[in-house]
Amino acid sequence: MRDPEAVRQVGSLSGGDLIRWLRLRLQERKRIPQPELNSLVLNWVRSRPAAEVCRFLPRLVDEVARGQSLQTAWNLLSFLEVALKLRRPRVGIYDHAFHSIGGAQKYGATIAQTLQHDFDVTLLSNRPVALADLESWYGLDLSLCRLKVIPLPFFERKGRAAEIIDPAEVDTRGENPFAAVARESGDYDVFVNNGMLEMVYPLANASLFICHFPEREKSLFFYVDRYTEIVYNSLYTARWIEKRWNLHPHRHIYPPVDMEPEAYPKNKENIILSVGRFDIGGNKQQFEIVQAFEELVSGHRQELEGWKLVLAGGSPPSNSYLEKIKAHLREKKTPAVELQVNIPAFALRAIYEKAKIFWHFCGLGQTDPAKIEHFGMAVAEAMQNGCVPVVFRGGGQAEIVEPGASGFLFSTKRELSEITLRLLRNPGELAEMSLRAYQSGKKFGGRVFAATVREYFDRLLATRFTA
Amino acid sequence: MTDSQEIERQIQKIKAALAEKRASIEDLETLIGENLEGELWGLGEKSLEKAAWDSFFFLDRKTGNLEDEPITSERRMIGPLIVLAKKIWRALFRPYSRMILERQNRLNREFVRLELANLLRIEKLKERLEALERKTVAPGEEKD
Repeated sequence: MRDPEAVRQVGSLSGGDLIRWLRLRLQERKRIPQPELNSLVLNWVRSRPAAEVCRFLPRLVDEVARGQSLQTAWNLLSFLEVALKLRRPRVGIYDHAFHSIGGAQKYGATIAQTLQHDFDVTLLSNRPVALADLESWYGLDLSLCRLKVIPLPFFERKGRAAEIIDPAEVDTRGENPFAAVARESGDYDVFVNNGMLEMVYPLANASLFICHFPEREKSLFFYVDRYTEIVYNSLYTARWIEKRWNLHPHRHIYPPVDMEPEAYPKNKENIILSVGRFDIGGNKQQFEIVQAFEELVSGHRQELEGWKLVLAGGSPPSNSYLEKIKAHLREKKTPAVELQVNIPAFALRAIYEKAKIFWHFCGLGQTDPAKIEHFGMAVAEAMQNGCVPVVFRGGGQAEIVEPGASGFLFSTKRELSEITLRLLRNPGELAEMSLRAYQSGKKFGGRVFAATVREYFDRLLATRFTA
Repeated sequence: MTDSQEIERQIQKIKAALAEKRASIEDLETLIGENLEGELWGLGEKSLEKAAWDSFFFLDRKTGNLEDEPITSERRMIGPLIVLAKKIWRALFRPYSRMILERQNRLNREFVRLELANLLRIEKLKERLEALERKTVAPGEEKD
């Protein structure tokens, strides 16, 4: 990337010669990559007396602004500030959906919490949200962070302020509505695009595209290849980034999962648990879970004696899918099924601690890769509580659970029944596997996430903000 | 004042001046000195479909439009004279230019019709393909 010989030579040039040299290079090669330019100028600044630097720097910056672009000149100065340790690096973390609760948004907010002591962190949103909201939703401390709202007129005109911004509505023949975010990105040393919004062109010296799943295909506003690095949440996501976008992602960081109990929960009860949002579209397939449980009970009453199924998850106030499940339960008069809707975090934690087995159907019967669990937060939460996962063989779940060691994977309902019965009939195996799931779940913990993020940003600083 | 303080002050000064210029530039392409226009090459199926329909609607709106562009001049003194001369010139050649443009317009309309026919044909083929896929792709199998 950077020619060491050029860097060394530049250090011996006077200010005037450097400007002439730069002018020639700009004429010859049209563009000098920003990292190369930053590196060259930093080396020159470090090799020359301060008075000379101060005398020639304005002309040098002017030359860059005219020969290359104003943003390049701006980035050069920002880079010098950070590399010469004149100020702390600024990080901007953008998510167009920060105003709504979600796993991806928790990921971004947790990065902010991790970095706030060493960086000036600003959370960037398109719709109003308070830092206090993010703190309470995700149990985080963001006291040192700032928040900035960048309204997007294209979406504001549509008048659906509470809704999540849908990039699929953008007409790629018109103006890019995310240009305002792109401009803002240029005010930071590191720009983190946490909302996997591929339409935001990054202007910062270092930029990270955090991909939770490549939801959309490449469009005329596709700029993921302009980011310094792509961070992905699971190997499943990485595979689809390569397949759908033909790009090689750089760094794998699992999402933070913080359902860890203080110690291994010993007071287990005969509960099969399933946790997932009651989507109106039924993506988590709770209805099918109830049916599978009923079939299991009707076929094996003796083994299932004393066992119950608990379905926990959030739901919007009016939810036809949830009503369908309730009506079914009333009609069938199934006593061993319990619905826990919109329960607080402490209650959910308590159920996780008590449950012995965890079922997750998301992805079963699906052909759309976006509808298969990209990672599987709930699966990792169950494992952290020693709740043995029996989950669909697909998406991120297949990499969280090690079949036969920390849980089981299934492809059909029949396979699910067989595995569940095997666990029910062998309490020793169930207990052993529960302990292994508990141990394995630790690698997804919040502390591991924070340490990985810190190490990753340290490396980023060391490679992108030095000569 | 230390060396680093001196450099810091200088950087701040340059940045302040640059910030004003930066704020005055509205266009992102001008700010970064690069063309951001996307290429159709490498686009996915859905994006290509969207681009094709967007282009079609654009063409459909524009064909058949033979309205004259208004004639203006920014020159203060001789501006009205230039406008008058252009109007005369345009009026003199209108019958001839109109004939050529109308011929071209008929051709353009045919191209737009052809484009629409092709787009609709692709839609039909897509429906058939999806029906076939539903029959052949097993549940749980991933398809792009």
